[in-house]
Amino acid sequence: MPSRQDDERTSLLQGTLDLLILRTLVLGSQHGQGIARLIQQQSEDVFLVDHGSLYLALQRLEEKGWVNAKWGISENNRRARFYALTAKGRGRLTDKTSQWRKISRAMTRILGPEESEA
Amino acid sequence: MFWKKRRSPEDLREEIASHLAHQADDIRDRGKCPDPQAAARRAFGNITALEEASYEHRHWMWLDHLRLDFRQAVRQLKKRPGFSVMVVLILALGVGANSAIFSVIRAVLLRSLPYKDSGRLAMVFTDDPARELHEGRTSLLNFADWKNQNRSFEDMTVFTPQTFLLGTEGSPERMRSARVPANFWPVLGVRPILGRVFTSDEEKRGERLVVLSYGLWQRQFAGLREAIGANLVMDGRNYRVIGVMPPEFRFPFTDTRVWEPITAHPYWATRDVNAPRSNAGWLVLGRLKPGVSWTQAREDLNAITSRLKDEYPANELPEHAIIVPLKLVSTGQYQLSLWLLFGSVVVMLLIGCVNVAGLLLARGIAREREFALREALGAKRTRIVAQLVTETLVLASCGGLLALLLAAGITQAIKVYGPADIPRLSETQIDWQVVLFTTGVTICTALFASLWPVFYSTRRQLGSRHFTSGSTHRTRNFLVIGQFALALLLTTTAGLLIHSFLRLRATELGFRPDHLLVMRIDLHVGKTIEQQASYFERAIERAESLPGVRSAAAISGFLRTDPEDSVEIEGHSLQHPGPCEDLITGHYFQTAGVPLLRGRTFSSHDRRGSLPVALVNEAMVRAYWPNEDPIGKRFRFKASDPWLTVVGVAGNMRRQGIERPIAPQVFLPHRQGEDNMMDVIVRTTGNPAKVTALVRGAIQTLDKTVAKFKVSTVDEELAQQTSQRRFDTFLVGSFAFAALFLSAIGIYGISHQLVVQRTKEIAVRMALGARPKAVQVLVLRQGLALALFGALLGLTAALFVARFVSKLLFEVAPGDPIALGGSVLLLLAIAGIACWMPSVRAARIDPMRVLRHE
Repeated sequence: MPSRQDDERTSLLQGTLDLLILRTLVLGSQHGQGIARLIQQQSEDVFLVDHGSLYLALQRLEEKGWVNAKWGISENNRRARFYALTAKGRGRLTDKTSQWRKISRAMTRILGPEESEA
Repeated sequence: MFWKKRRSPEDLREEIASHLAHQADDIRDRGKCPDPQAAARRAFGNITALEEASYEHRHWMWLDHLRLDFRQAVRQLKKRPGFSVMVVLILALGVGANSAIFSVIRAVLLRSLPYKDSGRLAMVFTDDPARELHEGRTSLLNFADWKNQNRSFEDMTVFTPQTFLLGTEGSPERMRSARVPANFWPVLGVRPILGRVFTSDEEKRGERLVVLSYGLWQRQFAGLREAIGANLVMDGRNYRVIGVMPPEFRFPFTDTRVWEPITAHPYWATRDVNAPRSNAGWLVLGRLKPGVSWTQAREDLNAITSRLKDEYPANELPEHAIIVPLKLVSTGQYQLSLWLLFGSVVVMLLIGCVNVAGLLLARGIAREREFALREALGAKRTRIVAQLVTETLVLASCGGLLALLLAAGITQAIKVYGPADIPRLSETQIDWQVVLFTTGVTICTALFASLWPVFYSTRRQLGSRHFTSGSTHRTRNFLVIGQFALALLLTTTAGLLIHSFLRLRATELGFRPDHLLVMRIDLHVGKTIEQQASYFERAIERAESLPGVRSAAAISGFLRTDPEDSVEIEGHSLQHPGPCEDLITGHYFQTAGVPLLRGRTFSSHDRRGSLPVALVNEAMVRAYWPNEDPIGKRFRFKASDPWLTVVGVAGNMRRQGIERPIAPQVFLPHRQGEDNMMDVIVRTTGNPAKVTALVRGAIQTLDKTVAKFKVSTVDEELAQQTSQRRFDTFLVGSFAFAALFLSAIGIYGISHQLVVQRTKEIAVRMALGARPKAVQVLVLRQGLALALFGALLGLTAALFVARFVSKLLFEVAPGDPIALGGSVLLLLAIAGIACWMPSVRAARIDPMRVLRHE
């Protein structure tokens, strides 16, 4: 849905958004905008989080029971819907993280060290 | 997940608002932005898209679509009431007939018998082709050997149907009973609903105990529990009631009223105990061991049977044992005709389907622009298909509901007017299984009829308006051809049955059935032989004295007679089987309307002590004394009988059933024989039904101890014999008629539409000089060519199918030219009539107006 393609920022790979959201929530419960901000900051502005996709992803995670949500008051003193990791979500995060690491290592092995890139 | 927790759209909207506020806060913190709110909204992207996506994700969209489609469908159908009503009626007719016949087949053929594990129950008959004996009975001694030596049956039981007179005072009533051993009940696996059945000890002691049928319990004891232990008088002897069977238990006959121990009947001591091995009077029922096949069981019993035949050469023992599954014993003869009916309604439904498909197709073409528009506005193809299917399903549900009503009506009519001898036909009902069947058939029909036009409709190019493309024509022609082929299949089958029925009606009976009454008189109580004969003489005299009666006579069995086992013609050896033998009294030949061809009838001089005489029929002469003068010839049934001298020859009379050939028959004077149960026949001058009461009264007052009897006309009795055939013929005929009607509508619709769509082309042709007559012929020829092609296709199929129904035909070959040719001509005539109106319309096209309009 982002209409503007930003060369510097990379669209998230399919399925990685869920993992990033879960990872972000390990630090504590957070509202949607906070999650988007954290992902963006932690990836040093490499990832562009599409807000529409974020909320659909949150909705999906909530239905699967990996996160739960309730309304609360944010640090800005505004009402916000806070998402928190469930025990089931924590398990999922562990699985997914190790899987992702495996893929990442394999990809690096195939692509080679950064210098040799043409 | 089947169930989803709904989150309200408002909640999401609130969350988005909160997100935007936080985002605006962040932007404001970073400063340098004149309008943080707008920036936040820009950063968010398309909020509506998110809301929609969230909604679609959380809801079953197809359910929403269905609701919309349904509303749209109802609107569409209301807009075209003629089309909708037509489709609903065609579906209701086709599906209704199917459901009705299905419910009959379920009741009669498909439901298992009301016995435990009834699939393993079988009757064991004897078979002796040399003596023309099929599905014959067995002697008790043979049965005992079968039972003890076989390795295939868990258990075997034996029984014999009998009759008894119920009642103590006044006129008793003859009813059917069955004499059964104690293991009869466990073999069938049935239990009484009240009381108990007898034990083998009670059977051994020959105690007079009786188990009642549900019907007799209701009638005699008003369904009271006190019936147990009560007394029932059968043939003047007292029996103690010990149990009542459930209403669905009707074995061996539907009208079996009581079951008694085989040993309780006086016949046990007087004839059964010492009956020879050749005395076959018993029926055998067995329960097969699990895992044993019918073939194994037959081979097993056959081995025993032939061993017995070798062991007892002096007795006439049967050649083979045959095993018939119990279900087939009662319904075997109806299977073919019921499945034929089912096939007919399926064909009819298919024809209806084709009609509906044609209508939907025409409708689809008419709506082509609508679909094109929808597609242009972004409707997905699947959504358009779904919309069309929904419309058809709405129509189909209306049709299905109407079909259920129709089916209820048809089954009710079948129960009332159908042949009474089809077992369990009266238990036909529209139950949940029939409703399920109807629903299934309706949905399948709807899909079948709609699928093809649906794909056709949506396959079209956007905006294309080539209404008369080649593919439309080809597919439509295919529909008409298929329809006519199916219609011909059904019409020829009906034609064959109707022709058979007409042949049957035209069968020479050999007697005059009109103006003839018949009643079975049962004297029963201990009358001497002479008293029996004189009773019937007096009854005949009494009847003949009544006004409106021309003459009367009595015969052992007027429309029921069976061949004797053997006959010995003087000078020849014993032959099997023998002729039928009946005693007669009074002016039998005159009353029945059978001509006396040679010799004399009996007179009062033919009595006990005088020369034993006999009259024979022509068939007997032809069989035993061909080209000889039979008068004075002698014969006897068994070597132990006295010789009978032939004194006269009578015409042939069809008394063993209309469809059966005439067997040799022998008539003997009642005064020289013995029979206490005879058919009295009365020839009337006027309408026989009008003197029925008079005749009954006169005969009843003669002797009040005579059992209750029924007076019926011979025409009624004969109608009873043909009821099954009439039922089949009428139903298949009706279905064929409906099929013809549907096909006529189909071909009319299609040629009409063709003319409408080709109006311009025809107008051009006419403008260029084509004469109206030629245009009319063009349209007619097109319709008839399709019909002819369909008919020829159907004829090939019909010839194939006719061989399967050949068993249901009477003196008509499966390739009967009258039925086949007649059907083809009828079909073409109907096609001609159906195409006539469109062709006239085509001929009346005014080229000036049409072309100017353009």
